[in-house]
Formats: sequence, C-alpha cells, structure tokens
Amino acid sequence: MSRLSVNPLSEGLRLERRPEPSVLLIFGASGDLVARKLVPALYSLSQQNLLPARWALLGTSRTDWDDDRFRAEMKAALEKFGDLQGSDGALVDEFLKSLFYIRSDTEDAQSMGDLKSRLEEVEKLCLDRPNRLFYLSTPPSVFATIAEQLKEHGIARSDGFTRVIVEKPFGTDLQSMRELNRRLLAVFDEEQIYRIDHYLGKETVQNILVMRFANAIYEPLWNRHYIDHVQITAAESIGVGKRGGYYDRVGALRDMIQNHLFQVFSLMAMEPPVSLQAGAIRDEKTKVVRAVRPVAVEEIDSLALRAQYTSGSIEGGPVPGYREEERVDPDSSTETYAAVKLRVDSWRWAGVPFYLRSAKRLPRRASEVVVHFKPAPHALFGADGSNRDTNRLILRIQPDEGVTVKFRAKLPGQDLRLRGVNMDFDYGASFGRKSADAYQRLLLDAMLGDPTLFARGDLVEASWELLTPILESWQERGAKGLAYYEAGTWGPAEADRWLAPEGRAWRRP
Amino acid sequence: MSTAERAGLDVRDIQKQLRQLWEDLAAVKAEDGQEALVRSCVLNLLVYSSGADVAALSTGLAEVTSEHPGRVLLLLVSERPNAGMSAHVTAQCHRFGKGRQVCCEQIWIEAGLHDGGRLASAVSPLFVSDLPVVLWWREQPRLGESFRDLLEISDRIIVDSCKLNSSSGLLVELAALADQKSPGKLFSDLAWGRLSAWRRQISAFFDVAGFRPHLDRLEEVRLSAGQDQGEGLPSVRALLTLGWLASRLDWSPRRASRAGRTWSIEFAAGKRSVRTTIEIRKGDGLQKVSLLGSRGSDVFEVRRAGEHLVSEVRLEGDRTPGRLVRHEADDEFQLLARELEIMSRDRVYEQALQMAAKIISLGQN
Repeated sequence: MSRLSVNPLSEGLRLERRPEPSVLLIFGASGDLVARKLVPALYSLSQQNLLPARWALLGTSRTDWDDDRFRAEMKAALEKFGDLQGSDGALVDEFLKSLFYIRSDTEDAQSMGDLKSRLEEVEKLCLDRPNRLFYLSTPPSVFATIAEQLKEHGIARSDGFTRVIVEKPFGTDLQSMRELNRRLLAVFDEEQIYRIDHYLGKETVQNILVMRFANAIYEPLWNRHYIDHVQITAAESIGVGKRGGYYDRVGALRDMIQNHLFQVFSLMAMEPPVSLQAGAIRDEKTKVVRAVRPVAVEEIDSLALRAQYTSGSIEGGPVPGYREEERVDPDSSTETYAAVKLRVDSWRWAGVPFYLRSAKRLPRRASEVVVHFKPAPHALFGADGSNRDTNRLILRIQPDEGVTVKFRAKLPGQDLRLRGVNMDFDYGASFGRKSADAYQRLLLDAMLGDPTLFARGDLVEASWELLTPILESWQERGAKGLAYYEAGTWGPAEADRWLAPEGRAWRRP
Repeated sequence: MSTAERAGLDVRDIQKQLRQLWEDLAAVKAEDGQEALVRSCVLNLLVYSSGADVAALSTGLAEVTSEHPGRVLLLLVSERPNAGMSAHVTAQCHRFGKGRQVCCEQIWIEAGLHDGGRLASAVSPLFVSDLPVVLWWREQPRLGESFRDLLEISDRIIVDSCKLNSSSGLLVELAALADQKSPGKLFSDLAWGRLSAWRRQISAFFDVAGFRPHLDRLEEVRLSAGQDQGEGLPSVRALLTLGWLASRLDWSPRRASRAGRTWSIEFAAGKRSVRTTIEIRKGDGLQKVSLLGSRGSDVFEVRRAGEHLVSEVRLEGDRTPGRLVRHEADDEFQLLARELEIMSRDRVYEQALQMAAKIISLGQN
C-alpha cells in the first residue's frame, strides 16, 4: 500500500466519517421525497462539512427541467423544509452549485445515452475516480427497470464504487420481493444494494443496540427467565390522507409491520453481534427473524388480527371512516390496524411472545417498545404487590424519544403501600440537542459504504416468508373476519379479547 | 447564600441548599400542573475564573449545560487578599419542546488568591459521584499550585492557549504537561477547536486521491495570522496549524528564526526541505494557509473571507474553484460545548502541540 493511499491529514479530524468524492444520481428527482427530505438532508450534511470534498447531485426524472429550474425548485424546498439556522445566502448558493439536472426516460435509449454523458461530465468535477451512488426515489414498479437500464447503458459499473439506494416497499409479498431481488441482483451485488428504511436511521432505534450491548445490567435479564413478553407498537393518529390509493393496496401489515417493526423486533431479539461490523450485526438480525416459528394456516386467527377504522374523532375534531377516505375503495377490506404475535424458537426466547402492532387513527402518535418483565416470584406485599403493574422497560422511539423504567416504590407513611413509578430518561431533553434527521444519517452511511442501518435482502425475504400466509388468508377472506374500531380509540375490542386469554393486555402508549 | 468561615466551606450546608433548591423547583412544577422536572447529569464541570463578568459566564455555562447536563462548580477567584471562601447555589433551567424543562445546578464558590492551595479540598466533596470531572481553566494558564491541585482531582483539563500572554514558555509547559501521559488525564485546548474548520478544509484537498501525491512534493507553507498572544511570539493558532501539518506529514523542525513580524521555520521532510513562514498581520485568528509545490506553481490555499472560509487549488496555473464553508464561531462557550462532546484522548492535538513547542524552543535558541 502506498504511503499516501489514505489522506494523512484526515486522522484525528472530528469528522472522520467523510466519504470519498462521488456523484449522487437521483431518479425521481422532481418528486416530493427529494424536496421534502433528501435535499434538506444533503444541505444539512454540507453545513456540517460531512459531504465529500468533491461532490455533486445529478437529478433526473421525466419532468422537463434544466439545471437552473432544478436549483430554483430545490432552493424553494430548502426554504420550506430545510434547516437554515446559522446559514446564509452564500452557503445556500454554494450548495446549489453542486446540483445538476437532466430529463430522462428509462424507456428511451437516446435519453439514457444522454444521461450517461451528463453523468460523466458531472463526474469530472469530482476530480477523482467515478464513484456513483444511485437513489431510486420512484414508484417501486420501476425499480428493477431502472436498474436494468443502468446496466444496459453501461452506467451501473464504474472504476470507483457504485451503490444503489432503494426506497421501500421491497415487494408486496414473498413472490414479488424475490422477483425484485432477482432483477436487482442481476445488475448489482447484494453489497451494493442499500434498502432504505428510515426507521433504522432514527437515533432511538440505534440506541437499542447501545442500550442492550453497552450496558451489562440488561443482558442477564434479557431472556425467557425474566421477560414475560414484548410489545412493539407504531401508532399513528393520522389517517391515510392523500395516500389512499397506495395504502388501499398495501395495508398496515405491509406498510409498517413487515419493514419498520420487523427491523425493531430484530434489534430487540438478536443475539449479541461479535463486532459492530455491518455483516456481524445483520447476520444476527437475520438469524433471529429466521428463528421465528412459521405461521400455519389454521393458526392465523390466533396469531394475527386486523381491523379498519370507522368515523370518529381525533383531538376533538370529527374524522371520516377509512372507506370514506379519498381514493379508497368504499368496500375496501384493507386493514388499518394489524397485530401479529411472533414466537421465537430459540433458547433465549422460547415461550416469550413478541407482539407487533401498527394502526392509523389511534388517539395519538407513538412508537415504542415495551419489555414486560415477569412478576416477582412471591407476592410478599399482598394485594399491592400483586402481579398487576409488573416491571417494564419502555423504549420510546417517537415522539419524546427516551427510556422509561417502571418499578415499584413504597408510598411514604406508616402503611406498607406500593405504587408503580416511572423513571424517565428523555433523550432530547437530556442532551439538549436535536437528533439528526434519519435521512441525513442514512445518506451519509450509503456514501461511506456502511450498510449497517439498511435492510439486507435475506432479512427482508425472511419477514415476507412469515407474513405472506397471513396476507394471503386475509386477501382470500376479504371483509370476513375484519374487525372495526372507531377512529380516536385504541383499536377494536377484538384486540383486547385476542390478548386476554394469555393474561396480557395492550399497553396504552 | 452560604458564607462559611475562612477555614473553608460548609459542605453540608451547600448540599442542604441543593436539596432545597430541587424540592422548591419540583413544588412549583406540581402547583403549576406542569410536567415533572427532568434532571440529568453527565459530568462535573469545574470552572476556574476570575470574578469578572460573572453574569455572562453563568449564562454561557447554562448554554453549555443545556447540551451537556451536569453540575457546574464555578470557582470565582478574586485578586483581593483574605477574601475568604463563600458559596451559594443556583439552578439554570431550559425548556425543550412541549414544556419539558431540564434543570442543571451551579455552585458558585468565591475565593481569594490566597485560598489557592485549599480550593481542591473545598470542591472535591461537592462533585456528583461517579461522573467525570472536567476542569475548564478559563484564565491565562498559571501553572502554579492551584492549577496543579485542581488538575490532580480532574479527569480532563481544558485551557485556551490563545489566552497566553507574553510568557512564551507557557505553551512549552502546557506541551510538557500534556506529554506527562498521566493515566486517565485528558488535555484539551479551545485554540485547537478554533482550528477545526481550517483543518477540515485543508485536509479536504487531499481526500481527492489524485491530489494526495502533492503532499510528498510540498516545498513551502505560508501562514498568516493575527497577533493572538504577546508581542514577539508567533500566533498560537498558526503554530498549532503548522505543528499539525508537520506532525501528520512526518516533518522535523531544523531551525527557526524571526525577522520583524515574520517567523521562518525550516523542516526536514525525508531528504527534502520544507520552508514555512508565519506572518503576523493585523486582525485576529488565522487568515490564510497556502501549501505550495513545484516552485510555487501548485498551490492549495484556504483563506478567510468574512464569515466564510474559501478554498482553492491552482495547479500549473489552472484554477479549480474552491468550496465555501462557514467559518466556525469563536465563542468560547460554543467551543467548550464542542470539546465536551469528546471524552477521549486527542493524540493528533497532543502531537501538534508537541511540534509547536519544539518550534518555539528552536526559535528561542
């Protein structure tokens, strides 16, 4: 290795994670995600001096824009969605100078040739070997086609690195996921594919790893001997909004549980990785998802539950029922509430169910993981020390990110009366600093070639294997067996009855 | 306010005041029906300062503890003889979204210079147990008894070498102190934090693999900076920048000389020589750093332009437009907050400091 194969001046800089010079080529660059999330995240990275020393963004889509129009649109997006605190016009203009645009159509060979020429022209500004990062911010139906066109026109390979970021959903069931994977893997290696799940970019989701593996006090308790069950919840108070057309084809199980909640589950249940290397962590995550017992057809109703919201009220205002939402089929049987019970066949987790639930139009937005510990083995304190109100460890993912430990304490006084008390750790308040947006973290990781926080194909496939029988059964039965809940309540009564025979109840976040 | 007898502080009384303070704050919250008070603590911040500008100091420290919550022990040491030691406690609260309020406590201890030898024993019982103690020596470093005593009870020491005055030996002494390699002691310098943006910009040139070979062909480095220490001394920031470059690139200083407001230092870089100059100009801080090769026709340059840093590469006359970034703030509280983010030894800084000390020693011989 040459003496200068690495930059000797970068050592000890407090921003050691600065990536190599590269070009980010975004497909679907005129879309909402780019304006709302990606460009503001990139601008924030540039303000923290975290972008490569030489870097450019080449946007492309079918929209007939040029560089100037793209820059003007992105400038407006930054003013609306960006964090411009401490910034000034000169810094914004400097950032916009690195943005370029070309119209393209993946079905038009001439257009793809023009895209290649423009990409090579932009790459010259990076003064280095061509490192390419593609971002597919397009409808999932064209992910594979874009990848194939990149290969056909000689764009998918370069002398530097090439990586591709794919937005969710990664398929709609096991078969479509395998087909998408097959076509992507015909162009890129698995190591080049970065399946983005913005949940994994959240600070508190990453904190699960830190809490579990940087604190020795939890590990001895983290098993079937002390944990009764785990509830992982993603509750939203909003309805489907303008996404009715999309959501009606997808439902809560595909939209949230298959991806976000399975990722959180795998972090909670995985064995300790041997290192922080991406491969080591992702191996353990996949192993635990594979250890989940498959769902037999006859078990589906005892292991999964679905419901749909009807009209009700949220925050004091009336809201329509799901079937009355814009672009939703009036006879739709799509679930807006889904819950599944996962049984992990491992020494650590035998007999400890993990309940995953996600729903729209619940009273408040809250994502959390709740570890319910077993009661003390002997009720020494009589009724006050009964099995109700057991110890809990609550990891709040959003909002008010933090950790709460629930334990019992004696009320002051002559009598021996016990009360459950919460000991709160508030992530934002304790460190007094806003967490970085998930897209900032994930875009930077992709530029650096760190796939730790991206979903690997085998884990995605394993999750679809588990959930596809449930989805097929629900589809086959249509509205039969679908429960209903009033918007603004914590779900259908059936959900409580579903859990009650096991002596458990849903926690109200 | 608790004023103890001259022999020392009444620690029990201070602890009682602290308890009372939290109970009062919690009671106010409960009456107002607000959310419970959040108390967090990640460190003990021991601040040694003169009694001047106390209100600004307290407010600035409150900003720091909003990011790094902890107990602040503010040692206000006045020039008055026999002033005696006294203490009182206050809380600084910050609101975070949705009315949540986080409060951090400050213990102000007023002492006279003659109390120097007893300061360490006075503050030790007041530390929150099991948390690191960071000493911020806010004054011109005086490597006397109190400094060494407080150093002894601290895990980390933060100074600001830009506050050095005409005593050039202090930088050399600081370097020696940092080089003692006391186990568990960390040494930091706000002057180094002021150079972060400069170092990032200079380093960024050579993130481009094609530019890296130029590092082995550098012939000259020119730095210009304002006077940030006593007359007759090169700028600390320029010295640390040069120390950083030399230590990263394995250069050894051969000789140093001064002519008027310009210092010239020659380094051996393997079989080559690298000429460097530090020119003192009007203004403050580092102003320009130029790395030159091929008899001056290859130039990598970072310069300050108002609130920004501008970088530029000129190779054989071809100019590559540089990047414009924000020049980081010089505010000492912001710099302190950034320093507190890192709780590990900064060997790159220590090596830069050692190199800077060598340059000074050469110049004095």
